[in-house]
Amino acid sequence: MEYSKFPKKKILALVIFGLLTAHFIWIASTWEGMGYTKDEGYYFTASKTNFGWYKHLVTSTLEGKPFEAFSEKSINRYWRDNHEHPPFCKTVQGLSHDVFHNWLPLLNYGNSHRMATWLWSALLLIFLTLLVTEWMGMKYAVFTIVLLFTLPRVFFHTHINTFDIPVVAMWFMTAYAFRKGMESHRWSWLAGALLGVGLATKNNSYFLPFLFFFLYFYSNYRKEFCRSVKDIPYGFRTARKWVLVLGLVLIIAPIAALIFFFEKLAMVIFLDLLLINILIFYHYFRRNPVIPRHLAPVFPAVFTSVFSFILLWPWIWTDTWPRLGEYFNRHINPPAWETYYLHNIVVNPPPFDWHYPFVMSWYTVPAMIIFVFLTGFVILLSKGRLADKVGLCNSSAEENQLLKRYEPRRQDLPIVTDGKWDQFFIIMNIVIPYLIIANPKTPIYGGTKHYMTAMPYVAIVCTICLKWIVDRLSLSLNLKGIQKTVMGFVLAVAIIVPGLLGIKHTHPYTLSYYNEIMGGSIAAPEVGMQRTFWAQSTTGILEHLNKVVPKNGSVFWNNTPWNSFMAYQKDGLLRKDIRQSRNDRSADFAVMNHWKFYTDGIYRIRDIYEAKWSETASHIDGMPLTEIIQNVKKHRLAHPELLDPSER
Amino acid sequence: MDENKVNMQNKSTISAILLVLAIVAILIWTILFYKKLDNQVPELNTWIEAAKLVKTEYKPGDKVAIVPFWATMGEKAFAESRLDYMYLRFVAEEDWPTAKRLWVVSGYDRFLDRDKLIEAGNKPDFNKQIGPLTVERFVMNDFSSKVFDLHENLPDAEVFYQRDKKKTPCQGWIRKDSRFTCSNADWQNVGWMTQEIGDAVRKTIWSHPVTNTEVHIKYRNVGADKKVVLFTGLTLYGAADDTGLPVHVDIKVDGKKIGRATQENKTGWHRHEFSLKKVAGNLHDIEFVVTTERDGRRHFSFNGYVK
Repeated sequence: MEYSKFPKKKILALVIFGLLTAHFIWIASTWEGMGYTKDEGYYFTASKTNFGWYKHLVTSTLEGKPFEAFSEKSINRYWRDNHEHPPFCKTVQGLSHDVFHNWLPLLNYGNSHRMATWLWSALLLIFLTLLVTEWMGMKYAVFTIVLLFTLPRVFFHTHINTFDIPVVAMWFMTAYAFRKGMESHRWSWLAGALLGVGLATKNNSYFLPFLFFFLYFYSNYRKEFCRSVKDIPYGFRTARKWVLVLGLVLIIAPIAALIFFFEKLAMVIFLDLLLINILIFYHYFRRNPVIPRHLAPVFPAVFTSVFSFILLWPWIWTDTWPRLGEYFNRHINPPAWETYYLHNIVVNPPPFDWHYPFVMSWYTVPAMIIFVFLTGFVILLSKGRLADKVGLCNSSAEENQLLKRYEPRRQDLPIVTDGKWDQFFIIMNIVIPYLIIANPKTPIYGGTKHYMTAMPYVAIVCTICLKWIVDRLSLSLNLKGIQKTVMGFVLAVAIIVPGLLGIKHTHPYTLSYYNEIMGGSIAAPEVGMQRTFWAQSTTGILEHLNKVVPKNGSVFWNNTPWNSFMAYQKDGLLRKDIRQSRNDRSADFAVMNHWKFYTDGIYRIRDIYEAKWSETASHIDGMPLTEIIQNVKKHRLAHPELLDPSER
Repeated sequence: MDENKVNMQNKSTISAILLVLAIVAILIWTILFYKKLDNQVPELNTWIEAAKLVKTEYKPGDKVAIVPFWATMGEKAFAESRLDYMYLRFVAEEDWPTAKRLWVVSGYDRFLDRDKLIEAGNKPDFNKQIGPLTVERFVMNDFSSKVFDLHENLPDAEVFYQRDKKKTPCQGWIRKDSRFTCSNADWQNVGWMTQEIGDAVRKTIWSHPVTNTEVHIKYRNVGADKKVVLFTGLTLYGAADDTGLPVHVDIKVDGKKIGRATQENKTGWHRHEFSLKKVAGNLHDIEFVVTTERDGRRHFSFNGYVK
């Protein structure tokens, strides 16, 4: 097996730093114009209270009352808002807001929250670079990064302060740690801890254990694990007595609490987990861990993940069971907000369309990337173990080695995972996120963001394709060194340009991007897709509102929550005297996003307002996304001189 | 090197070359796609210019079709010019019974059924390009001066609910709300509505059915002897209810039922036609009776004409 060379640390650090700098400039310079989306508004408020708890913890501790922050009253005050969603993203957003807006006045209100998303994407960038560098080298890692962040829909989500890029980052980092953890106790522990952070980030992470399961049993650990299960009775016989007693106590204590002291159950489980995690930490970080290598990935994934999840969410520290019940019930039976898909409004109850993630990808990923990805996927499959079994290739032959690995530090230990396992790792990281959304019971209102955790791996598959082409051609044409690099660079540019063109064409309303196969964004109404989503295109009409709304006038917003409305005012994008109206009939103006819900909102409002046209709109290629409608009826009644004589 | 390996390498090289060619082809196609799209987008002023052009030669009885249906950027110009316009996707699929001449203002290469319109006997007599927009005019062959429009004449109709043969009149036409109010429930009314349905922005008559109740809309003294054409549809939200039942419209002429249109639980705008040839005389009371077995989310609308 040919190993990849470990790059010089300084060069790798420099490349990552360069990528981070370029990425930050790329994202920060394109924040402007992207509307504060619906969910961002809710998180603006929740992040303030969630992070506020940590500030309260510090101040009350400094005041000599360290336990005050842990009181039920304090926890309810800081964690109640938006408690239907996990807390960690909001906590980081709150921190980011304080750092970049309140403490260092570098960014405005909205962008100081959005900076948090960039920080998450920076983590993703670092880990993705590290992984692809190991597999294919640094140049290809750079290509992967550029390709991923120039996918138009990913580009959009990297700008806004929601949970989607954070969970992509968490999914990637956890999977990365798990991969390393297959051969390292410490990385195993980290995978467990990161899984907990992922659970506290967004509920996509609940599917990571499935990924772990498949990856674990695809490895050489499969047999060893089965043997260990068989040997459990033997283990009991040979174990030291104090270990058995401790184990018994750890098992019996929660059972006893469940039966006799239910109100103490949460505390007992917490102490149980604390003790288990101290033991795990001790054993995983000592020089010679006694836990067998093949069992190392299992325990942190089970115990450390739960513990870190609990630690990050004070909301469940009191009234634990009802709160956990409420949270899990909501996510087991999630609400299905309406979405417009292939000429139909999709709402509860299930089943939902299984083909949604596939059709959406077919229409929202640039055609070039679809082509390169599908080709890469075929290459990936044709060089894998399955292809070997059906006689398509000899997967162990050197020319069929797609992904290289660093030479293991310890040569004395048997190899557990190899390049073929890595191929399976990539495939599963694509298949699982897609299958989650393809499940007819999973709501599909979230557009492409709900399976975005697959996108870094889609970018990796594209990179595999590029590398395969470059390797084959340079071999045939006898190209080496700079010639090979130039050819690779030209091809890489050709692959990336379509995504860039898509972004250029749709920015700042990139959530409305549809690809060339569909006919661009303007084909959405004809194909029966949403033109816009989440009130992302509201910014385009703010300037006009500032001009036309009378002093202290009111505006009805069909999809922009109060918190986003306030953010526009805080950032000087909207006049402060403009009031938000909850009543569509009495408002002076309505801001209507093109959402095809109920009885066609825009035309209903126009009928009510007796408005024959919309005042103005934000557009993509001449297609309105968000419109302003004047309440002509109210205006005329306020100015009787404008009425026809028959109406007076 | 053994022969097999050489063969494999040659195949790989050919595959790699083909892939490069495909990548180049997709790149060129993408660039051309965006270039074409850029050239297709009309500015606001272009729409205004198109509206002005139509206005200068506009005559009573003319209609204006604007394609595509979502390109409403220049609507103000058409509305201010008091043109009788409609945004739609397929021009030839619409009925234009009251149009002597039809103007078609189209952009984005979206006027796809021009040939079909001509094949139907409508003669093109004007064509002008304004930037990326095309303004065309057709002399329509289906024009009739004796067409009774259901939407336009709704305010003069008699509207009532009937349950167990008991008649409950709706309140008379309320001008400020453009509707007949039939109960305290906001949805129980018969009135004008504008909605994007069947790939067009349409003026429709909202007529939500009520369980175990007949909604009657009766037009008196309608001069007609040929046909009743009815269009029906449910809102998208209505059709999204999997358990939704069909909505029926019985057409009665002078109290006698001549047919039934059924709107199944699906999206779109559906055409139904009923002949009046077997009905004696040419002045009739025409009544539409809307019913359903269960009214849950039956956001039903209709429109049509009689001639």
